Amino acid sequence: MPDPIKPVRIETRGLRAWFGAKEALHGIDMVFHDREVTAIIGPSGCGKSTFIRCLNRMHELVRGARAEGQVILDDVDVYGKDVDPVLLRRKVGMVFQKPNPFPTMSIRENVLSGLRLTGRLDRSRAEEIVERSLRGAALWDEVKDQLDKGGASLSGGQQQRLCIARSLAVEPEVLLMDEPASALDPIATARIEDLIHELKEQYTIAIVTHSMQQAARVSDRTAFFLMGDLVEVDDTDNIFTSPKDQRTEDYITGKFG
Amino acid sequence: MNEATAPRARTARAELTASRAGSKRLEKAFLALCLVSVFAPLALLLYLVGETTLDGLGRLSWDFLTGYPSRKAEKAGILPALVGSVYLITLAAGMALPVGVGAAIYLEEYGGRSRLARLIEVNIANLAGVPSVIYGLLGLGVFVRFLGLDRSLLAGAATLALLVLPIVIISSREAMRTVQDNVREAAYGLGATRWQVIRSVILPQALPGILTGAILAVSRAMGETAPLIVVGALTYMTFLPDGPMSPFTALPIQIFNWVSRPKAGFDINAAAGITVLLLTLLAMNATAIWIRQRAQRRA
Amino acid sequence: MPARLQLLPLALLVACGGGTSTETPSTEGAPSPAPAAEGGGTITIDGSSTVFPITEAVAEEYQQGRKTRVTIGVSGTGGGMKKLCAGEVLIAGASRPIKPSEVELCGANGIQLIELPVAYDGIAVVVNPQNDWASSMTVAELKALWAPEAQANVTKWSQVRPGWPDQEIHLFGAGVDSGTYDYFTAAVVGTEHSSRGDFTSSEDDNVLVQGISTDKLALGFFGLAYYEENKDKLKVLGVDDGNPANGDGPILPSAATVSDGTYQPLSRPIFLYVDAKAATRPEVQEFIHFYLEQGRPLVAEVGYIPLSDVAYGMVKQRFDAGKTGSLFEGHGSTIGATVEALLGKP
Repeated sequence: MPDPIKPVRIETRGLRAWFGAKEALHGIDMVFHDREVTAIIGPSGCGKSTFIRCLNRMHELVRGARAEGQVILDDVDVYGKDVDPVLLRRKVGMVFQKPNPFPTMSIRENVLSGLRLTGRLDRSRAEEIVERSLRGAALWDEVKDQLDKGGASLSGGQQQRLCIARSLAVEPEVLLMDEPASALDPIATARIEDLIHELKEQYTIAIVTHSMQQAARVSDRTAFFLMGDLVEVDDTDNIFTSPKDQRTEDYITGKFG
Repeated sequence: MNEATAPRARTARAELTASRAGSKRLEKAFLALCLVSVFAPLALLLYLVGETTLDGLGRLSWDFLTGYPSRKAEKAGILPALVGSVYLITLAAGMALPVGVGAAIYLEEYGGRSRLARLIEVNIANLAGVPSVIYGLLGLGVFVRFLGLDRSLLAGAATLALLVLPIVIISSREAMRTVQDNVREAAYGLGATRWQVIRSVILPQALPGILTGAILAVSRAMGETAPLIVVGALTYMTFLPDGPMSPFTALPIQIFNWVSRPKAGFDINAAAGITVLLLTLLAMNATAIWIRQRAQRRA
Repeated sequence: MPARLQLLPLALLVACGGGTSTETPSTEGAPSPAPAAEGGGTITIDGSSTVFPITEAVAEEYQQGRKTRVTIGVSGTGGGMKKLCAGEVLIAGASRPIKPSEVELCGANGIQLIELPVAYDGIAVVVNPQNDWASSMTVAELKALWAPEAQANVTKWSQVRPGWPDQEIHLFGAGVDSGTYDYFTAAVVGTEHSSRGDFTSSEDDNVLVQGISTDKLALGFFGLAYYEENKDKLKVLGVDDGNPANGDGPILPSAATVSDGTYQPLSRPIFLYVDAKAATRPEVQEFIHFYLEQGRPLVAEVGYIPLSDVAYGMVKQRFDAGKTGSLFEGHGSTIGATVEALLGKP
């Protein structure tokens, strides 16, 4: 059971998002608790990915996309005028649906890429960071002898864990995961889920998933999105056993989706 | 097999073994056509290169490579033209690559769909089709006269750089477009700025494609005669260019001059000159391919 | 790897930047003062591809043991004149006399020119060696064959002269951008740059030689030098201008008939034009003297026809006197005149 007294880490207030003229989110008010896993579920096109991409302002990188409203992270509105989205993303890391290691870089370079890209790499600590990040992503034992091999030569599941290690290396506080296991086989998926369990000791995690079983397995709280609206958010147990909204119940019982 | 299933098996056999002779013949004919389109031009090219090389072989010697122009075909050498071409191409590539890649970065990563970007895009596409003499006239007006560069190597190289700029821009853009969006996103997600993403993620991945463009550009620039003549390249000089402001001549000009001479013997010089041109081109492209291969091996 | 890749654009910038900073550009319009290695100066020449082989030969000999640099560009008679009038070169080679528009352009820029005939160029009318019916043509026949009206009308040998075979005639000619074409049309058709268009033309006369030597029904014209080099593959025709004053009947082109003015009208003088200000520079004077005094055998060696010694003397006098302006008063070629006759004019 989740600890109900965990403090709020992120809060969205009236968050709306558009792709061009099409509104994808209609004003979302929701909170994420510190060091908990919050799962976001819903049918395709319900806005769940858009929602978490608004949290670290990745959404606005898409041509013609924009967002409105507030996202409060540690008392700061990340959409405030003086907030640099680049610095925000160093604090709020992201793992994507499809594993996307940098193809021109080795495993080691991939792990260090965040720090190196942004010119913050302390060379004397490089080896330590590589090991810590890869251990954190439960990949160290598999790749420790081939750190100079290309990142793209790993299997899909390993690549995704490499991407997680890459995110961890920049020492974020929040991790956003956009269907991180949807491109992986069941065994690799299980490893990622185990990893999420470990990571929540240190990180606040938001995970978008299309799999209700996965949400039930990994998350403390679950939010159900439908057509750009937040229908219901509650402790995961409550959502899956006694949803308050009829639409939530219809979705989790497989009546649509 | 009992009696009930026998008819079905017969039908299946008939279906699976029916003659496809018609479509097979078509397939074969198509394959043959493809092979002909590959090998016919290749054979022609080989024949031309072979014939030219054979014609010029007798003249290809150290003396030819290190000699100066002369009215006597057997005494004439190609050194000023060879040195001029190498200088020209190096300078032109040195100008066209940074500018072209820069322009491609702007258009691909910054310009978006703004009116300005689209205007530039249309113009670049058009520039690629402008006859090279027009570039010569532009070079004469801008570099030689307006900027006062005179009839110098620099003016010639700048003109060639302009001429190949569309090739560099278009191929660099193509190369950058092949970098997948999710790799870009990964870098942005790590807190990289746009410039950091371009420099450390997009350019390294696009490098092989950019180099392919560079090879095309250099090959094009190497063979150009008309714009250089308009800009004021010489045909006869008996010294080597000693700096970017020096007068110059180039291989294709020397070759063209020899081809059209009435005296017998110059045609052999022209053939030898063409061989030198091809070899120089080959050497320069081999360098680019070598760099490209190294870049790709990392990938 | 990132470190290495980051250096690549930098290296290119350095390579490019290094190019621009080495020397300051010289002032616009100054007559190319590129300094020679150890004094001696540079003589810059541009212009006609017809004059080029002669000037190249002279420059090659002249530079033996001298420090003066001679550079020659080939941008055509018109291109060379433009550069000369813009003060970008000191001397221009021309396969035709200066045009009125060019006289004006030079004048506007305050540049006076000295006109120096340096050799003759003949145009040969040639056929295939297997052609056993034609050995000469009159100018009138040539005109009937090449005039614009002949296009699609005169297509058979029999239409040129009765008695010649009733077979197609295949025409070849110098490229329409060449001085040779301009002169041929002026001399034969009567209007410069005007002829029928249905003939095989090439800027490269060697292509014409090739074409005519493999086609029994061919007839073509090009520079005499190309005939001289390919005598065994071609048959040259005599030309009859119908004027007994310069030789009766058809005359075959040769060094003798061109320079004594009997091969008419298809021979013409070719020129150097010298910037009068540059003509006072010692290295330019030395070069022109060398050209006129020792150029004679070189002219013949590269396939052209030298002037007579008398004519070279007269040209040298003209240069030394610094006499500017054109013998042709800017009115184009005087068809069929010898240099002596031109220079001898009062």
